[in-house]
Amino acid sequence: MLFVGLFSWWYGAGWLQLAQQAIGRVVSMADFFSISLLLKTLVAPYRQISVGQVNGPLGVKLHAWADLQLSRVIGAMIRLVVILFGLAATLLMFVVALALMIIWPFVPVLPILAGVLAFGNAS
Amino acid sequence: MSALTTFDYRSLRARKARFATMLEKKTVRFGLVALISLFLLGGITLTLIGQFSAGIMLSSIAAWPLMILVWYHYELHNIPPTTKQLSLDGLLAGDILGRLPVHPSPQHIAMAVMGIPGGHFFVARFGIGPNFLTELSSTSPEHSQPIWERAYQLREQLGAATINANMVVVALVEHIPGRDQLLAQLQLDMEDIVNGAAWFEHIHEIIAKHQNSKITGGIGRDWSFGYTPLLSRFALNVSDQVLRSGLLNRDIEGHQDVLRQITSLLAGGGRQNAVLIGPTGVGKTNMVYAFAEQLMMPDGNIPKSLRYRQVVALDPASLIAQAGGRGELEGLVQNLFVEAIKAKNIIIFLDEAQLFLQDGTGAVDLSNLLLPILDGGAVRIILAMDEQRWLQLAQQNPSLAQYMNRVNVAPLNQADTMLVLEDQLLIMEFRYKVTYMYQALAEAYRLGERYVQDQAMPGKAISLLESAAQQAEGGLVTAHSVQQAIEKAFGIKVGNAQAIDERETLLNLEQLIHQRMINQSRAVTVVSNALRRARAGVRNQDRPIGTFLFLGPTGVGKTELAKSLAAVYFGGENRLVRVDLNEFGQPQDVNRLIADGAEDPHSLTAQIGKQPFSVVLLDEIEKAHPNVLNTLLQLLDEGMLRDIKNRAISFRDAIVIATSNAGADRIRQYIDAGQDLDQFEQPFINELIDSGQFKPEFLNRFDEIVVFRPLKPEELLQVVDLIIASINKTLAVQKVSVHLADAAKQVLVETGYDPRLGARPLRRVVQRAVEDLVAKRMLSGQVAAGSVIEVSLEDVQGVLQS
Repeated sequence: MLFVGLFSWWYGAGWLQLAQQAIGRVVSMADFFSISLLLKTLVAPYRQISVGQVNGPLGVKLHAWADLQLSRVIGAMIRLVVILFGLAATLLMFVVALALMIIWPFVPVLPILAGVLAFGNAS
Repeated sequence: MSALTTFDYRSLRARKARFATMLEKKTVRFGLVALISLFLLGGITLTLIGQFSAGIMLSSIAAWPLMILVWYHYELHNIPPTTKQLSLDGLLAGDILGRLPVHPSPQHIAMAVMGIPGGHFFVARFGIGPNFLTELSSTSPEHSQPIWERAYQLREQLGAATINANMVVVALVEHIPGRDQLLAQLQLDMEDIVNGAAWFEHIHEIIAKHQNSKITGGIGRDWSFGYTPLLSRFALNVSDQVLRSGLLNRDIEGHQDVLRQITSLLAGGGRQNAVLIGPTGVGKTNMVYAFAEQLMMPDGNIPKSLRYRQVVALDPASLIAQAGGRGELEGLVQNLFVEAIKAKNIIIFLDEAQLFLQDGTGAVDLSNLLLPILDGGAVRIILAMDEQRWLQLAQQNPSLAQYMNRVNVAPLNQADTMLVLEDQLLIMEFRYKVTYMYQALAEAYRLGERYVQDQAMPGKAISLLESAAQQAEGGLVTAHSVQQAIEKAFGIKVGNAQAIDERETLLNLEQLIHQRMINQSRAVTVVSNALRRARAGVRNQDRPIGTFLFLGPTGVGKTELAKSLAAVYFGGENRLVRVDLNEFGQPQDVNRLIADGAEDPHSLTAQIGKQPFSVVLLDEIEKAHPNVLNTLLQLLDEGMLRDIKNRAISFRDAIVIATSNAGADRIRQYIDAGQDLDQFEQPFINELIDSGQFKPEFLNRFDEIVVFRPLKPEELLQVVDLIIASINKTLAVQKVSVHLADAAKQVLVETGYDPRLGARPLRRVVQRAVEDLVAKRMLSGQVAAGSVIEVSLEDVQGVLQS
């Protein structure tokens, strides 16, 4: 009866738990790389490195505006690189999780499959 | 509920639970790991020697023990309940279920739960030993049903998924015959045990919360915000600290409300600032930490404008240390605020804000600097201070106060304080390497509320628990440890009399007092009885130990009794707090009586605040102004007196003795008429009321009114003996003693007794006569160490005549 319990968990709640864990890891990875935040603030000035709002002649204002745009460009470049890295890492995590999900149902029958393979070769 | 009668020992869940119980043993799990390693190593070896198929097969067999380990880790270790049908085997936690026999009796249940963490919790926290439950629980399986039903009810109440050991322990304790008496021996009642079950459940929630991965924004969280190098140097990043160390914060409605107010103020339009007002220890700083945590791990309730904003607390000490002068300091703070404004994600927190807004030692007034910043609204600010400071600030700088949004943080009640303590002690236990019992928490609340005046709850209980860690017995902080901590801090006796010495003193109090004073037996007895009642724990805890009015002429021993009591039981005459009420004859003198200790350390409230375990002597009470007497009424009634700053000072560990000479002549008349004290005491008190010297409502406040009668001549001789004994005590250092002839004593009594002043001049006369004589003889070399100085009638007469 215990075997029934083990197998029903393995192909039921256990498999589901594995999937939930995989999703959790993918979400954590995306959070680690701040993908959602970086996308939302893609063109925000990086680290506020700019002179900010200035009052003065048009030349000074233009200079400040150009300064701000430069900060935005630098920020967007850095963020894009990190987003790409993050996406790659998250994707890798997803692939590993998917592979585990696929392998999972075969684990209980692995010795049987190996036995069939071994006896098949022997015969 | 009836479905709970179903207990299927052979159900799949019950079998899983028993299998899990077996796998709980480390040796079994180690065996499985060894088996896995063996199969894998064997397989690899076979593969390496060319037996490829056999090697693969052997290696793959490792999958089966591996599956068992995975199963244990993800399901068996914490078997989820069966939701399909309501049955015991479906709802019981796996660790209990796996330990139950086919027909479990209450004793079987007790044995099962006391062997697992839920049971261990009650052993460590409540002192309920394993034998307490197993030996007292019924051995009949028929008696198990009510226990399961109660445990099920608790599961519903606590909102748990399964019936856990903590709930079963509560149910078992409830069904023990004579449980109240047994619990009382552990200083507990049933409500405490139920609270314990909720506490254990909460610990599980904390563990589960910390096991879940946190979503905190990641590496790019702050890239849209500016660098803050200056703030990193001169401020503590509360948000970082909370993220690193975590925060134990119980959901208490009052605190949640404060958090909602802060969030709403800082996110809303208008002035985005808040000033948290509340007494020290109420948890203002903790509120800001909890707020910082919410911003770092935002849920749907946190507005976008506040998400991932960082709370930084300016450090006044490092700012003052860095800046040479006032101008430099203002420049530095200005730069800090500019940095915060530019960074766009900083919320400035000024804890103990008076340090930044008032000049003083370690403090500097930066309000002029803050005003334009608050006016501009470019940076969010949170201040924290107590009500008194806030009122001072509002008075001195109304425009600054106008800019701030006030949020009140109120002290917690007992139930909420206990919840906070339950969380805080996890940190304290880690810090002090001790274990706190539940009884220690309850005692810390009780004693903190009573004796700690300079803080509010929960701070005062936390401070007390921290002090109690030093009094831990074998690493365990008990209620007794807390009592010891408060006894050391305030020099009071809070526990019941346990030590043999103290019990002896209490039982023989009259004799001990009579070693210092003559007669007045009734007064000595009523005071001794009051003290015995207090130390046996049978007195009213909400009043002073005893309140007495001593009436009688001067020099009959009223003050001496108070002094004797202080010396014999309270630990010395310095435990006597004496207030001469003839100095309080004006209405404004009330202020002196209840003055703040910082301004007048000799005020009544200041002295008792420092030393609650005292004898309070209110001398010549009839001379006090009626306003002063009215103020004292509260003291006599409730054992509490509010000082000028409205802090409640407890007199509940003091004996209050008021003395009065009122009607002294009348007492003499009664005595001269040959009446005994017993005969005239009550008529005399009635006369005092009728003559308007005392109001009946005032006299009724005293536990006892005792009339002292003038001393008789033979008693005065005994007084001389007492004075000589005290002189001999002083001379003991020189190894000499004095002995007076009876005739000499008689002369001293005749000379020293004054019918108006009683025995008071006697001490002066005896001291002068004897001490002068002894001094002369010692200086002339007539006295050798170890000798007895004999004083004759002639000697005394000679000294008195000179």
